[in-house]
Amino acid sequence: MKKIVKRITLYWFLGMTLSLGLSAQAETLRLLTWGGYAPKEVVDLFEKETGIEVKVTKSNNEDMISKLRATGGAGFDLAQPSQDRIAGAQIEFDIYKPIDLSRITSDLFIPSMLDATVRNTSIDDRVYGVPHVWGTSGLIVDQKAAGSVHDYQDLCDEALTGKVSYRLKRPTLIGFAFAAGEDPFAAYGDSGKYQQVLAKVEKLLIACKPNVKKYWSGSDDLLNLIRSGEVVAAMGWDAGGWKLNEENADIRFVAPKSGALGWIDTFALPKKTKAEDAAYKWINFVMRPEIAAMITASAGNFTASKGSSEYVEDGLKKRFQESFPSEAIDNIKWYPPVPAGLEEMEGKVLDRVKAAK
Amino acid sequence: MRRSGFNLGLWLLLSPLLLWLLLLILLPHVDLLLISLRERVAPREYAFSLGNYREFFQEPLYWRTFARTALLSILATALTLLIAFPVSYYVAKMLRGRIKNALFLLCLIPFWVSELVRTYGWMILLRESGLVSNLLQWSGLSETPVELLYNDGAITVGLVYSAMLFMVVPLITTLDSLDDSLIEAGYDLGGSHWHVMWEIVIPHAMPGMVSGCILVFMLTLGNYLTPTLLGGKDSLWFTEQIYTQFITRFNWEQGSAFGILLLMLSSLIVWLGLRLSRQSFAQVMS
Amino acid sequence: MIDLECRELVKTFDRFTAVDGVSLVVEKGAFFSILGPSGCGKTTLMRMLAGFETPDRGEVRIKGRSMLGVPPNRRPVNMVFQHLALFPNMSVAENVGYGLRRRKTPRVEIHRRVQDVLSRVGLGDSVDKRIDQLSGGQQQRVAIARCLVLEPDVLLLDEPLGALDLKLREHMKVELKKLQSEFGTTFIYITHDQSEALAMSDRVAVMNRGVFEQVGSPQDLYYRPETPFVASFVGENNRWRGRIVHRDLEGRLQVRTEQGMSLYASAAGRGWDRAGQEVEVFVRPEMISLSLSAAHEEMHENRLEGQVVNILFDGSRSQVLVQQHGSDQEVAVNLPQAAEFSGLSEGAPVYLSWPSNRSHAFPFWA
Repeated sequence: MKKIVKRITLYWFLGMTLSLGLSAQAETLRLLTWGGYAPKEVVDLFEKETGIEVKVTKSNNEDMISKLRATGGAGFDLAQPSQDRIAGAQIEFDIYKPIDLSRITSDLFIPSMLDATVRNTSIDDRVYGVPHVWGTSGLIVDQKAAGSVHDYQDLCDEALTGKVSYRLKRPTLIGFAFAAGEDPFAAYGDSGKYQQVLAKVEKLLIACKPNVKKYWSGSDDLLNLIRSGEVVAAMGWDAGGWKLNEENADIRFVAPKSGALGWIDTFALPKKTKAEDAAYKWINFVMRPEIAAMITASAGNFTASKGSSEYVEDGLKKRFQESFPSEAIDNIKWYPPVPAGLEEMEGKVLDRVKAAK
Repeated sequence: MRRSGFNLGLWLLLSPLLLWLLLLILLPHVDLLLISLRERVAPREYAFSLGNYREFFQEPLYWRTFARTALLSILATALTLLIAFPVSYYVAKMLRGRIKNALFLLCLIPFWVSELVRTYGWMILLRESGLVSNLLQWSGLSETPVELLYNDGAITVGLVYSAMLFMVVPLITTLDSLDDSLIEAGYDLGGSHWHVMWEIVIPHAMPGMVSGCILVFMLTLGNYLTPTLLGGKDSLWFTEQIYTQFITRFNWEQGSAFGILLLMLSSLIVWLGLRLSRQSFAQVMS
Repeated sequence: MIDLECRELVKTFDRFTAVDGVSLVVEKGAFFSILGPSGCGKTTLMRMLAGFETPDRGEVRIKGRSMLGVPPNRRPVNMVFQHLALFPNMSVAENVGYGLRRRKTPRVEIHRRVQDVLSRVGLGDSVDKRIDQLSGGQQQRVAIARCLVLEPDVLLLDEPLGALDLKLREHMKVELKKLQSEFGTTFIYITHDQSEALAMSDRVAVMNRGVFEQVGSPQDLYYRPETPFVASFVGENNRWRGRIVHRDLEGRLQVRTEQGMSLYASAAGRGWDRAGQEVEVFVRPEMISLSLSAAHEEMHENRLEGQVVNILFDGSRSQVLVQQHGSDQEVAVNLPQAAEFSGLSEGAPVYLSWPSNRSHAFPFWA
């Protein structure tokens, strides 16, 4: 009995030291990111250059915050939340670590985007995010079946009953608010005003419910709905729309009249990151123009890397120009930081919409 | 001296189970309870409060969602029982030997693939551009594509399907233990099929039926995937509400309160069910 | 009056023939037993009478009415199952009242009849007990009462005493016989225990490999077995192989066993008993008289002397194993309870004798 115990202890120690030794030898970067932001060829190139192994976990904004909140900011070395979701989550849950801008090669970034992101993600002069990928959400429309859709409210046209899809999440609330002539971003600071805006949107969405085939839950879900023809007009991301356009020229990404919603996904350091050096190396690596172009090709969205558009395939550029004439670009509504507590108000509205018959 | 030695051995034997219960069942629930009893007053500052529980009863949306979930679960449980009973009776009492084992195995086969895959299977069948819809159009029974997905019927079908095993297994086991001569005696003394079923088979199978029902009810109530995927825009399932509170609202306090309420309310329903069927929990689980 | 009649019943399972052309007639009020080893087809036969199996050929008639196509719940027969099959979820009264409830008998009458039949079987005060509160013998009586309350034309009993211990079994034999004569119902009783069959029955059918070997009174089977199977299955026997040496004018056979013992036997059946024919001879140990001196028992044809090689003590059923001088043939003999034999020990010289009509010879076809 004693012998067995001794032996087990020995093996245990051996195993522990071995695994510790191994993990110390091969540095790893645990990346919490979106689908398409860390394509395999980029990961391979990075590994070749630095010897650092990259472990990719695909996620979304809410999931990232929940995961980091559950562990107090541990388990990942680099995360990529949207810029508007950083400050609020940081104030509430303290899950990020400030970024040392001196370790970032700022020449690689489009200056205006870097400035805007730094401003939006700063708390008390500490910076929590730098920009990576940006894009918009707007309308994905089958021109043959629903050519009349030019704005979010057009989705609620009776002719489209049961053939429309959008998400039951905050971008939908914001989009419909703009379409209804409100400026929800201006009301961010005034919860009374914001509540009014939300009440208006709630009515719209409840009235629009018969048109909804299904509230989509993920990009693939949406693309399948449109591909099968079950849905002919939807609110969705530009990249998805362009992807479908490549397959079927009738389907287009349309910037809504009231303005597409612009988002920037960032790099942020989880509070208990264990590979800070590797994280900075990764940021500076993927912002190189030629690497950034590879990410654009895989994610379908442009990056904040200066000069990378030269390397981007022409088809994507063309589709971007079709969806965004210059006045549409000027009309993009960029998300300002979400104040803490707003999500709870929005949540109740979303619940009521879901429950409505 | 000897007694204490015996006790030590017993404790050692029990320790994995006790540790498991403590670490993986008890502690998380205690934590859940503690979280549910606090309220955010300012960023990173919380105070004791019963507000999360009050919210459940004051906001009709939440308790209606719960009531709806509970009712649909009861319906699904009843349907599962209705479908599983004849199947189990046939397998346990009418068949012998290899065919019996083969059929029993056949009941298990759907559970070799994950619930997610099974649910997607149903989605492929039932969606507007899916198999059933195409079949209906091809056979001329319908002119236009038929949407069979995204309604309560689809949810119920999915729930019954995914819970069937947990009803069939306890039923087959109890029915198998029923002596054939009891059934024959029932007929011999003048009973019709109905009487034999009602007075002999069902009373004997009662513990199996009740334990199957408890299992199915709990699983259905706690199911997340099937109602969300098959229910679509009107799914409104209580676990979905908990998930939303935790993941998209970051409102762990409300989510925990819902979790605790789900536990208590479902236990209450099971207790009522046991009272109504005059079974004791110990008897049913043995 | 005939209560039950079977004609040429045949039942085959896959390739195994369980019942092979059985015919039988049971008169009203009789206690009829079917005796046979396990696997002889008696249970299948019983299940065909009850209606749980359909015969491949042949017909069952009860009170002259054909039972073809009549399901078990519509037959005027009831069955006491081997393991009784009492309903565990019902009380004694509910068990007994089950059949009456099926017949939509008024409640008051059910109550009266249940009470009545239970007091007749001596369980008048156990009406509201649960089944598992009763002893084995009491459960037995409930099972019988549950059938008798329906006043069936025929009551079938499938080895109902099999699960009881020896003492209780002996007691229940008497009890069953008493119940049967009290109620006057026709009983058909299945058993593999010859003592149960002999003690209770008016008539017994010995069944083997799907056919009836012999049907008759217990005395017929015991004293006048018609086949070697019946001779060997009913009661205990000395069983010897030998050859006919001579057949005298009275039909007695002189037989010489393989061991060389010479004896007289009576032939079962006729026409085969020529000299030189190989035979099997059966002699019951209790038919042989044992004495310490050669003096009396002059009247028996078979006489031999030998010495005791073994004493198997079993109270009233004690036996002595005797070896004949000269041939070394061993003979089992019952040990009389008389005082003169109490001192008998191994090696003692003894004298055996028995009449020729108590040793039965059957042709042996190799």
